[in-house]
Amino acid sequence: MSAAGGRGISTLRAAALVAARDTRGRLRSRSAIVIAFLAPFALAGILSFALGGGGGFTTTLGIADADGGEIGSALVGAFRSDELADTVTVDHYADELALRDAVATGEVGAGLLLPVGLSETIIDGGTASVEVLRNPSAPVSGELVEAVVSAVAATLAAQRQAIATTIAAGAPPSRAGDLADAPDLERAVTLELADVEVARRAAASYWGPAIAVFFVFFVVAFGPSSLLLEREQGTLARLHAAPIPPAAILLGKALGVFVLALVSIATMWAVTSLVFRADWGNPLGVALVALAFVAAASATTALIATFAGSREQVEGITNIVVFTFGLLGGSFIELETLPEPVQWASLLTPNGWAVRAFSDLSAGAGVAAVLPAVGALVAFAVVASALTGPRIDRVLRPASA
Amino acid sequence: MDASRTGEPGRPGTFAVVGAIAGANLRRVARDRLGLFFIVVLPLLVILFVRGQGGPDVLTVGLAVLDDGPAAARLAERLRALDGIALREYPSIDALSADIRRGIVAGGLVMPDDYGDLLAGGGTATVEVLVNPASGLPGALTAAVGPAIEAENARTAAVRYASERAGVDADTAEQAAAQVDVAPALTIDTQVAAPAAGTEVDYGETAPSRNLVLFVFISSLVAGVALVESRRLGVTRRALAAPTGAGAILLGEAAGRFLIAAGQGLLVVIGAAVLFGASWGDPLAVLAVVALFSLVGTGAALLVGATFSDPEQASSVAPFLGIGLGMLGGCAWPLEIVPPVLQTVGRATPHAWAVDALIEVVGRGGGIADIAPELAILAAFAAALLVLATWRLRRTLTH
Repeated sequence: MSAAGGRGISTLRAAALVAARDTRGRLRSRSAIVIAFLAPFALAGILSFALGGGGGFTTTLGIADADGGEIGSALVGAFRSDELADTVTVDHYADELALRDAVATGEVGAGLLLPVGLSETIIDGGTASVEVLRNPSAPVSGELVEAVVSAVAATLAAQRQAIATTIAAGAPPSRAGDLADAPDLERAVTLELADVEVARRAAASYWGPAIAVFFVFFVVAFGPSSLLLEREQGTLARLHAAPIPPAAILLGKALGVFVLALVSIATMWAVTSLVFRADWGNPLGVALVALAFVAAASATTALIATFAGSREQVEGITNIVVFTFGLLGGSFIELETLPEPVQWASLLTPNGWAVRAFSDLSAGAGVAAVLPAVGALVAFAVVASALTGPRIDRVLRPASA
Repeated sequence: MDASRTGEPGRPGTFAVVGAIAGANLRRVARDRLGLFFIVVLPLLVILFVRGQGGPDVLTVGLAVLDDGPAAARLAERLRALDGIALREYPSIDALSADIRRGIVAGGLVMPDDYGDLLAGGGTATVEVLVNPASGLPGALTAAVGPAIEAENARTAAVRYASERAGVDADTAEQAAAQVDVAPALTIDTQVAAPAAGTEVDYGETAPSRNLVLFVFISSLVAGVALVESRRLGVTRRALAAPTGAGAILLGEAAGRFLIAAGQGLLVVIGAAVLFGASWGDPLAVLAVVALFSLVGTGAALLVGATFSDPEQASSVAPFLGIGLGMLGGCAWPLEIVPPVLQTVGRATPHAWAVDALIEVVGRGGGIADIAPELAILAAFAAALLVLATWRLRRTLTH
């Protein structure tokens, strides 16, 4: 690009110089390092360790068996099965009060009360009830107990049905058997989960990108913020006095945060993949989405800056927007668990598109599948830039005396 | 060095100074409309979103039936009749997979084309479960469709057992199975354990409690940044030049921050109750937790103010330190699912104890007596933080 009107250096080179100066300053103050690298990595780390299931879920359950009969043994046996051996430890309690206490204090994750006469009632053909004691702090343990008891209940129901059917088909009762015999019925229809191994790596693969996306917004917000700071401190006036085109100042500031944001995402990508074995998916797809998102985020923060008066106001509004977008876009809470109207609203934010795209990529989608999201993000960037363009003077004009 | 309580002529009393500084803090917060967003709106927004975190009430499940026989049709009919799922049917696995990836359905079931043949031959048929690996829903899906699968299993097993034991052919056994209607053998009654057993509170309903703890602490840390700023500008040091004691100034700062934190806590309690119908249980117990945890937040705010010297650095670190501690302390997910090491680390945060206390009150109907241990620990945390912060602030202000 040729020099404009006899001025010393080209726009591009001036922009690069401005960018370099900004970056040096930020690295010195270390706040950029914290926002762009330390904080996202630390949070992704906590999430991955906590949710990644390093050792698998384990819990202790309590059982108070006042029945002592066959059905009680069947229930206890279900909890001591091989499949649950790595997950569940069973503690026996002599009485109901002791078990209630244990669940309340968290000594056990959940409890099961087997009443007197349980086996007798069921074997006689009646219906009996067992009590599951749950603690709201430990939802998973409670669900585990309910699931196991439900499975035993289903087996008992099946056995009863089998015996009744045999009798209805004309067999004498002695041939039909009874529940005490516990006819061994094979389960003809089974559910099989595809891709179990992939599910295990899922935590880091969702949260790595989701958190990186959230922090990128903070990183690019440094741009307008620093511009306004310079305006307040008067150094912007000095920049204007320098023999560089005004556009170079803008371009330089944008370039500085753009590069920082990309490096931030790239670092999260590398580190979460290496340390937490996250799988972000197709590299080309990730790069395209990252670039488009950083552009959209930069344009959004620039647009915000043209609306507010003081630097504090800009930072305040930017914080609100960033947190709201983060919430809506699935950076704090998994997108699928958000209420459906909110999931639709998330498409109004760049975050919503980016998190969806990254989620698709880590589920194995190819570049073609995320091109719509890339397009949407580019559209965000273009629209926001178009709206910012005519208003740019509000930001650039040095503060009047 | 502290001024006397009543004050001598020309010297303001301690209470006056404390009141003035606390008042200044409160006025600053009230003027900062944007800051109010974080103190009031954001916590309530998060609660609103998080209420669905136990999983959506009705799971949208896809179904691809590749077998056109009667057995497959019967299972499909059972699935359609299930409460708690919304079933969408697909002509192929590809169509189903595409919608799973797009999040239109939470997951899907595939009945292969040899389903009926395998069952008719006396063998086992497998129904494949597809979920988006990036979602946490396989367990919920399996549990939701379980009843239909179990009913089908019972039916098939009954027919096979009957034809073997009664020595009849399959058709007769089928007819017999169709006539039979037995009462369930075992039912489950779920209760929340002591002190006051009541209807079950699911994890999603603990969201207001967990978010109250999370946001009061984050806001406190962020408020501590203001203290760093006023230290940097020398405001605090200049205040010391006035005829008051360092103790009064610190007390004023602490009082201001405590009132803001406690005010926020109360706003979340009232807001969640009014907007979402959240019930909080024993008011005295809730107040006690809010008050003590606000003290903890105050101590943390003062410690931030005392420790950092660069406000920009402090404001980068504060919110994310708050989020990180909140995560570790059980505000974001139940501590029971994290590895034991992280459970221990979580116990070292005041958050875990505050959340425990609130869940005891909200979810199990406890009163102050029931949460006495947690309150004591929160008081200890608050005392330790306040003592540490005061010590550091005195050193930096008076040296």
